[in-house]
Amino acid sequence: MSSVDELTRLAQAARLGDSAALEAFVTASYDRVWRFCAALAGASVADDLTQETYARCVPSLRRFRGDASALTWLLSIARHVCAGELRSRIRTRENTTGDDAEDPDWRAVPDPTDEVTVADLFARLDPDRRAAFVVTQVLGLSYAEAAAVCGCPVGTIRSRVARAREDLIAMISAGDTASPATRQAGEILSS
Amino acid sequence: MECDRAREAISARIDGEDPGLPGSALDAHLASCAQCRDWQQRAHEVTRRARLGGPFLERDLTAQVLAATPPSRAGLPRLTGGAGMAKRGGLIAVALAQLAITVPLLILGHDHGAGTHAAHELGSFDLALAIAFGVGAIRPALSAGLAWPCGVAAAGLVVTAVADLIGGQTIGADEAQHLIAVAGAALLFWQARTIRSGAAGAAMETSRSWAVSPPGGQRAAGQVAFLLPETPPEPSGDGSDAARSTGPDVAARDGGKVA
Repeated sequence: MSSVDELTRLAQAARLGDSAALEAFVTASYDRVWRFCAALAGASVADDLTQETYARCVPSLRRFRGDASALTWLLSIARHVCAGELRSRIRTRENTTGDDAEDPDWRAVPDPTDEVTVADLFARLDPDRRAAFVVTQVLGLSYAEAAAVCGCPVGTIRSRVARAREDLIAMISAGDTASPATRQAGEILSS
Repeated sequence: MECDRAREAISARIDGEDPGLPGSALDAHLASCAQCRDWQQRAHEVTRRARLGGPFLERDLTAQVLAATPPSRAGLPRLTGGAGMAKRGGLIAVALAQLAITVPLLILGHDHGAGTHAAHELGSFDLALAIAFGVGAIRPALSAGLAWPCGVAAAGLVVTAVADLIGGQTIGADEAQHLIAVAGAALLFWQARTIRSGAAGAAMETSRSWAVSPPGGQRAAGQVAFLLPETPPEPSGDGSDAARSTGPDVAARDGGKVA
């Protein structure tokens, strides 16, 4: 919690034009923003999405009032950036193939190592559930903070996190009978 | 109790959050439902794996982000320094002078040879210039947009004044007031130019200070390395060795230049 408050303090100082505070703000938050983007949209595009997030956040810092924590504010921007990326990916796929709508959006960015990772499993989750799960589990935010990031009530976060767990458990269970990739996915979570 | 609601509560309890229903009710359900007990165990396992196996940052691109980040508004020149205030003060003076010559035209309706209606029209035109100079003083960021129309108006006034002076249609004393418009337009152009170069300078200064400001040599080396062209992910062979040795050298050189 204290690190969140520290980040908010840095954001407020950066807003007033303190460039050292801005640097410290980016340095202190970069890792979490990157991991959030990587889990939401894929590690291969996380660098660009993180950069885009800061490019949007820094000019609007002066609108940051400090009544929300800087981390949830920053992550909600990242969520919008990632949502835009996923939307444009879906559009591209619809334009090129047309009948692939059932594919998880992950397939559009194949993992170069051809290895199923936990992030690949996240990719098969519904985007809203994915965001709620990643914010609370990977980044360790509270449900209340996750609600601020996702722009929904706390009860919705509770439900989405539970559904995400349900889906992940189902992925493991399906591993025994499904395709090699899914089986591999199951092994990752159950081994 | 429905298993769906119970599992939502189990999930929330794993995260140490409010389960949304009484703990005793959940425990009673768990005692009676083997499937939910199984689910609880799997949920714990999935959670542990997900928390440990999440995507991890491999290389820190903070410096690149900072270099590419547009300077915040706070970083832009405020124009509150001596020269900036002089320009703004000059614009206010010009605006007031322009306003002063507008009054007889617009309100009294006479301008030497011109008729009442022509004087009114001229007055409207002069008022517009006065307002533009005033806005330029109050909102310097708008200078670039204001400078062009004001510049064209001032140029038109000067060219026609000179032509008419030569033709004997008017006298120098009457035309001298157009110098006010010329001064205003010049101040606007000057201010717009200062803001443009100031913003570029601030951006350059910002990115340079990101690159070399940290006192620790290691940090600086790392940051400069990120500004270099992409290094191969798996260091092998001469290329990456060269890249690796370039980083600290560049850092040292840049550091020396600044120090």
